[in-house]
Amino acid sequence: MTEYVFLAIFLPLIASVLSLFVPKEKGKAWLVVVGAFLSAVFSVLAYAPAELYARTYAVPWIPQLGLYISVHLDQFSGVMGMLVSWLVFFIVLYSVKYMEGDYRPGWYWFFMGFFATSMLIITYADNLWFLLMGWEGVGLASWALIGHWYKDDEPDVKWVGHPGDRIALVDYFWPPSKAGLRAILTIRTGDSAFLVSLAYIFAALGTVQLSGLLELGPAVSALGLLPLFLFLLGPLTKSAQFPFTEWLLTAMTGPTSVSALIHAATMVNAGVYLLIVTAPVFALVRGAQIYFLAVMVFGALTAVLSSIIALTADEFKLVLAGSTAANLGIIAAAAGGAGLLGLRGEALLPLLWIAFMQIVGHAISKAPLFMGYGAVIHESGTKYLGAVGRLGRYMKVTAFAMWLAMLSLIGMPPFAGFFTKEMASDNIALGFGGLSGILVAGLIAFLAPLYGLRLIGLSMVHGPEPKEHIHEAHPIMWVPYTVLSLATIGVGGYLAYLYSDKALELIESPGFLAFLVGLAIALALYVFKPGVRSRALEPLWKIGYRRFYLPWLYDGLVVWIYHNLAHAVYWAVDRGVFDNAYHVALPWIFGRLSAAFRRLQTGNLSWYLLYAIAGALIVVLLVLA
Amino acid sequence: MIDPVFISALVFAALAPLALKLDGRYLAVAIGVALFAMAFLAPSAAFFFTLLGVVVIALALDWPYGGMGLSLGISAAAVALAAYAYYRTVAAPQYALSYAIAGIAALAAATVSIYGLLASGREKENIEGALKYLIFSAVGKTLILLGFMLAIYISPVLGWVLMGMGFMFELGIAPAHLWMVDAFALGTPKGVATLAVFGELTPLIVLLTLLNVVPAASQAALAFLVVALASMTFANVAGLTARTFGRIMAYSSIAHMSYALSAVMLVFYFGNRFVSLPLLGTMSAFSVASLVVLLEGLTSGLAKAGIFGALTVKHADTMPERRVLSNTLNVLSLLGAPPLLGFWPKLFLILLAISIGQVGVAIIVILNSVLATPYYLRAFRQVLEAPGPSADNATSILTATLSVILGIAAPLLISALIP
Repeated sequence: MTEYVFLAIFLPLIASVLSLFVPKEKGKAWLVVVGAFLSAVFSVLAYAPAELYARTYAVPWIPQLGLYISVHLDQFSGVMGMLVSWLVFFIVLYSVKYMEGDYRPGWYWFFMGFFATSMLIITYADNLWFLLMGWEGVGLASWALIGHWYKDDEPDVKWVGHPGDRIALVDYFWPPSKAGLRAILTIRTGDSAFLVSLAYIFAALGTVQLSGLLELGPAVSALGLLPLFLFLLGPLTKSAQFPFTEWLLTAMTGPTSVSALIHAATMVNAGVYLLIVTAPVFALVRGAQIYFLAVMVFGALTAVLSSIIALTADEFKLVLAGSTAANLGIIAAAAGGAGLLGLRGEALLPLLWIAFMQIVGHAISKAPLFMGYGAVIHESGTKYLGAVGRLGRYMKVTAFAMWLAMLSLIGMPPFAGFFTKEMASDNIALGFGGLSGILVAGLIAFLAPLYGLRLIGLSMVHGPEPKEHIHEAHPIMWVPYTVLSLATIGVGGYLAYLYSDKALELIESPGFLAFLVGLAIALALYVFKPGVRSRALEPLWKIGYRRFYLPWLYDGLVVWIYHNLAHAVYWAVDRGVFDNAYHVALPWIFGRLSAAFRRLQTGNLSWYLLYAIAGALIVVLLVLA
Repeated sequence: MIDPVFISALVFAALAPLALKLDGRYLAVAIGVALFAMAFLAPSAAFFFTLLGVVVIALALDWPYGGMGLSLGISAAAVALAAYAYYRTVAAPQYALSYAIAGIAALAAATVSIYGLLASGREKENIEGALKYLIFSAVGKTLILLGFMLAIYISPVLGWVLMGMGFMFELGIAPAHLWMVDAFALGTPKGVATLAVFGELTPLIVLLTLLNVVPAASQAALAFLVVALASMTFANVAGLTARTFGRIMAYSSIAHMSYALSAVMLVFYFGNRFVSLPLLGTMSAFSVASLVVLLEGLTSGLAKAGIFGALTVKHADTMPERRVLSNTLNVLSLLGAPPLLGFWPKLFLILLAISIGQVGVAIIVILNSVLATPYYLRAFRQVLEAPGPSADNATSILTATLSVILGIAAPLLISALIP
């Protein structure tokens, strides 16, 4: 079984490395598809329905530094591994047609496999150093793929924002090269703290094996909160939690298949997944309730604010990106809530499983949505919501799939999203407790149908007729997302069977009530009676549309401060101290000194002897001293 | 019984009339071959005999020396004799005095030969440079001989004050260094090459010989340690603005001689003791200092023989007029770049200073190495930017190869260098 795990992890990478040596684009593509497919098959074979960290397997690499190639095989890693590898397979299959004729096939297919392997390392790793390799790998791959279209051409399709749009001297549009840089800079900020925290944990406890830390038991309590919060910065940035949401939104400059990969299968899920699987260890640390509370608050804040961004965005993919951030917020908040409830005496693992299931529910809904809207952009040639509409008439299969996936995403019963989201909302409500819990969970549930049906309503049902003839996407594109959207019903049915005893409880929850209210309003505003506008809400809409002016902060203020600080350091330290010292002062001093010394070289022998005699006298004085 | 090596030296001297009939370079080659063969007669100094034999043959192959070829051979034989005397002084202390005198005699023979070579261009500048060398060297030898006698029969302190002054003149330690700059800049390049490789190595070996016979007095050692540290700093600072090859290399030589002098004076001031160093293991501090002295002499001599041996101009107060790429390695060896030969003496000197608790001395040496870098890099650039095509000759290639091979094998040479 362990062999299967390693095959599942490394087959995509092997395929992508081999693809570098295949000259034809088709050859590269199908090689990576086959690698991804085999990886998915082996992930199923490697599945072990055991409790978290019950089964581990380690091969020593550099034991002195605590580095082992080690994996944990349990229900968390097993389900996550299958989810990641199968989604990767569907997405790369979709890419075969979607990326056909692209100008950079070698780059694309290499990093797709590299991305998958990196994410699978994170999924299965029991050793935090080994996990760090995957962690950095997804960071590198995300930079490479977000900025895939490095020529920054076709702004109407490949950029985020409206070219030329500016707010207070700051550009409000992002070409792929800039978006890639934004992503890596944000992620690296968190990764730096994350790395320090791993080193801290290793220095303090002598191991970075997650199972080993769990076995240490009470000894972990001495760790304190500092490494936990440093650690938290990694998942917060990687999973685009507030205030680090921005990179995820502008990551839409990558090809849509990459967006699907980042949002559904890899990258952003890595952060929240790590929050979940480390929770049993960190629950042992003294003061862990503050850590879990922070996780929950950051998550809830992200969920609400990102839902508003999704509701006000005017680009297909930006709406989906906002909803991703919102759902990641829900997962993080549910994980934080689980941790708090666990500390209050409830069984931790079942609560964490609930948070984890939301990763699954969100992923299988989000992947088809990205692929489907990728097909829409591919066919219509625009990324703007409202620029093209009534697509349900022309892309019937796609519209059907989008409806299914969106209903699952917003939490409509009996789709998979209903069960996972409602249970996660319960975690949040109970974690906050009292009225505040109901309000937070209710607000999140209320906003989801609004942004979801707005997208579907204004693109598939209403909106302007396409100017050119639009037809259904190629089967290689629509089969993967249709299969996945149908899976939302299948998984929903399975969850209904699994949680039949809780179904009634979920329907009666305040969160579901808020969802129904949101759904009714959304149906009225975006499906049955579109076109209603409110001038009173416009200022609020603008704040959401401008993404709470965070881009202005990151691209304007932070850049300005950094730029000026760098200039100040350059002028004061580099030029002022070092350049002046090394290039002006020292050469001047030594030049003068050297010239003075060399002036002794007169050529006159008498003087030479005189200097030598003077030297001899000095020697005599030194001896006598 | 007269030592067979001394007899050989006398035979070399007796060959002088042949110089009237035969091109001197053939005589130099013959002496080189003879030195090479004599390595079998004197196993303790075999390394020096072999090395000197090869170097003198290379120098002889590169230049038509005329009658001065014999001078070249004699100067090499003088170093061999000095080296032999040094090793015999240690091996047979009962004859130490005789061997020490033989060493001083070898120094005199080397000086006379090198004077001739420096002046062999017959230009006014050549003669001026050679004459300054001769005068300072003569004063130095007089002081050394006088001091040696005083140290043995009257007072070691007084004797070492005079001997130390003598070595200041002989080695070109500041402020008795001024002759060296003129000799390097104005002498013929082949004379300077000989001066660098034989004229610097001989007094260093004689210094070690005399230290084995009469250990330096502590008070004198302190004075000369201070002088040596000041001299290396002076030379490296002065070298910073030197432009011509002759002057750059002259300051380099003053610095190298100062490093060597500082090593032995450091030991005699702070006391000889056993020290444990990486690569060397446990040995006496004086043995380490002797190793530094010999390696400094070899580094400076071999590299400069290659550098000056490649010049075709009348005197070296100029830029290199043709590109000799192997000399880049020679310059890097002088700079002390690992793993070339020049890296080791500096490293051992720094380790020696640290091992006897003199971190300050180690820092001064390190700072001097840093200070010297710009002028070595200037010389490196001059070599590279000289007009092509590349015109490497036997001496430059040989010395560059030796800088690399001896550098890589330096830790293995210790037993061959330390008696």
